[in-house]
This record gives sequence, C-alpha cells and structure tokens, in this order.
Amino acid sequence: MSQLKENHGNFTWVLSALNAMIDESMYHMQTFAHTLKVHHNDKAAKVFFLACEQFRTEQEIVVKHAQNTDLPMIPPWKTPYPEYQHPSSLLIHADYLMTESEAWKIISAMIEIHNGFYDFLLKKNRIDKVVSLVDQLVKYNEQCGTKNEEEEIMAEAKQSERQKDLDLPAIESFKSVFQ
Amino acid sequence: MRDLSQEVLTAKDYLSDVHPIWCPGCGHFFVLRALTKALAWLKIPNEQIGLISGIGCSSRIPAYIDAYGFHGLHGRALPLAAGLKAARPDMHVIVAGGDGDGYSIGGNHFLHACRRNMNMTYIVMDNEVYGMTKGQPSPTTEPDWEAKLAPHGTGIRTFNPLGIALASGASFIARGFAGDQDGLTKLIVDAIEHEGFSLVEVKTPCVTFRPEEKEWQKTMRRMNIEPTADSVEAAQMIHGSDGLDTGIFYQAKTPVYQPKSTEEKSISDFEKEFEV
Repeated sequence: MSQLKENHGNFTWVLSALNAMIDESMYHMQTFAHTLKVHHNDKAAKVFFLACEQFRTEQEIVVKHAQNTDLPMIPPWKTPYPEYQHPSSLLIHADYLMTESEAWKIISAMIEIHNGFYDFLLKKNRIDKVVSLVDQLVKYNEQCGTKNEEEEIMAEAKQSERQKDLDLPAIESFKSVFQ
Repeated sequence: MRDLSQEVLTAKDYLSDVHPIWCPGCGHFFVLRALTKALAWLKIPNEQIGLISGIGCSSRIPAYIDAYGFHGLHGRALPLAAGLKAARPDMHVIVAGGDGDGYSIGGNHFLHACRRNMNMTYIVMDNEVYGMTKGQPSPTTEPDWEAKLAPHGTGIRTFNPLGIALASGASFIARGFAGDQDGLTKLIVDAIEHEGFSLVEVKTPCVTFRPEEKEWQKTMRRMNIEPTADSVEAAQMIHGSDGLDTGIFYQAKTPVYQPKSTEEKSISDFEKEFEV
C-alpha cells in the first residue's frame, strides 16, 4: 500500500524526499541515543550521538540546495523508490547491552540505506542539479564510512582487549555452580 | 481552533520535550513516530488532541506527545476517552495502550467502546506480553509460550482482538506493524479520519521479554489486506489470517454514538432535576 512516487525528475521533490529520509535517520538515532544513555549504555549512546551529527551535516547539504524554495509535502507513507528500506527498520537490532562496534554496524547499515537512494537517483536521472547534489552526498558518506569503519575496528579491538582481561575459565566454573 | 491549513507541520511539532525511555529496540518507538507523522500530516492543532492511555509500557505515550494527555488507570483508558469525547465532541480523541491493558484488564470496556462506536481512535500496541511487570503472558500470548513467569505456558487460546471488535460493532478495524513505518503511518491517518470507533492493532516487538518477536521484521506481511465494508467478508479475512497480515480489515459507515445534548449544565441545574 505504500505507493511509489514517480517524481525523480523533479528537483524539489528529490530534495524533499532526501530531507525526509535523512530526518528519519536522525530522529531515530537521537531517540535511541537518549534511551541507551538512560539504560546506562553510554558507549553505544555516544556512537549514536556521533552518527546523529553526521546525518545533520548530510541534511545541511540538502537544505543548502533548497535555499528559499518551498519543498513539496510528500505524504509520509509514500516510499521514494520500490526497494526502499526504511532507516528505522535497522533499530530493532539495538539492545541494552549492545557494544560500540554493534552500534557502528547499525550506523554503517543506515548509511547504506541512504546510499541506496543516491544510487537509485543517479541511475534514474541525468538532471545536472540532482547529479551534483547526489555526488556531494555520496562523497560525504564515503568520508563518513571510512571514518566510521576505523572507529568500528578500534571499538572491536578495545572489546577483545576487555575480553582478554576476563578470567573466562573462572566465569565458566562460576556459571556451572548455578546450573 | 487554530487554522493550520497553510502551515508546514512536521512530526517534531507534536513531540514533547520528554525523551522516550522504552528499551532500545522496542517497537513502541516506531508507533510514536508514526503517530506524530500522522498528526502532522492531518495538521490537527495540538490543543485539539486528547491522548488517553492506561498503564503499561505503551501507555507512557501521552508524556511524549505535545497535546492534552491523561495517563489513566489500568484498563480504564477507553471509558475516560468516552467521557472526554462526550464532553468535548470537537476534540480528536486518541486512546493508546497495550494488549494487557486493553484486552485483559480493560476487556469489558473494549467491547462496549466498539459497540458504542464513538468517534475516536484506539491504538493498541500488542507485543503479546506484559512487559512493564517483567514478562507475564497477556491475552494475546500463544498458549505454548514458556518463560520464567509462565513455565508451562498458559494453555489458553489467544484472544482475537480484531474478531471481537468486529462482533462488537467497531466500524474501522486494522492491523499494522511497528516495523512498517510507512504502512503504519497511513493506517493511523485513515483511522483518525474515520467517522466512528477505529481500532488499530499494532504488532510491536518486545525485544526484552520476547526477543523472538524480532522475527516479525521478516514474517509480517506489509499492507496486504484490502479494506471491505462487508462484515462477513471481513470476518472471513480476520479469522482466516494467521496474525501476520496487515491493513484495514473492515471499514464501514455505521451510526456513531453522540450524546443527545452537549449543552453545559451547572451543578444547580443537575440538582433541580433531582428535586422531588
């Protein structure tokens, strides 16, 4: 029932659809960052807050192109293209105890959702304004992707260091007492 | 009433400054988002919304929305809402709660709210468990679900809210999925616009006490049901469904209950009526 809008050649429609998609990601990141913080997972919360800043910059790129144009109101249930996956769908995998690297993985997947729309737009039309905007967004996301990947690797390294510090045989024997 | 027809409203305009604190991954976050997007799309002035809830995780929702709200007693959200609608028929009354609140403790109110068919929307966030009290089975929990607080399962057949709503007289019956943000937003828009009692049953995973419900992301069918105004056809769809279909199962124009008079009365007016 979510209907496809065939307006990919309309620059203001593209701006509005991009703005809505990034806004969704930003809202969910921010909301989940707060709830992770409340549930005492400061490390994952910090990752989500950082991602929120990245999405804010991504949105600023779009808004800059809109300047003083009134963006069309797209019904919130209309999907921008057939294979579109809503950014919020990834957050079902968040949980209280998620690690920093798990949080980074969700961010990377969310960036991939954005890239999916950008790829679609590049394939779908040759309007200079759209191509130039999408190129900027793709470049920005590439930079973020590289930076985030480094952060994820560092987080994983820290995590395995922490696991080394644990006395696993002692934990196992402790568990067996209760089994 | 404010005229917002020319204003550009966004979901943010309907959020309060209180951040939701449901468990990370909880489906209720997505219901909140869908509701605020629906309100923004419909441009309903904040002061014209009355959001009533009962008790439970989902019933926290009035705190997160910038509108009139009432976090009521367990299971009693619907009678509160009926009172509000009777006194203020101009307001958009939205009721929100969970499966335990609405179908167990509030089960009787649910039947009569459907029967009365007052113009209001009831959003039930159904996660098939009592989450706030740490995971007891609810009326929609499968009989063989075993957990620490239900070691042998309940052995009791599940409650079918859509079937009950249809039999009791609700004029709009829908099921949505929290993981289908677009579909759910559309369902809520349609439910609020509907004249009469609209039930939107939302399957929303409880990732803490029922982590297996994350599978709904793969198994729920997105908006595959087409609405009908034929109650027999609707009954067949509802009872033939395995619970994973979403969309509007039934929508019909049926008489909407309204109090005969909305004229204001003072206490002395009432006292006069009882004078012997």
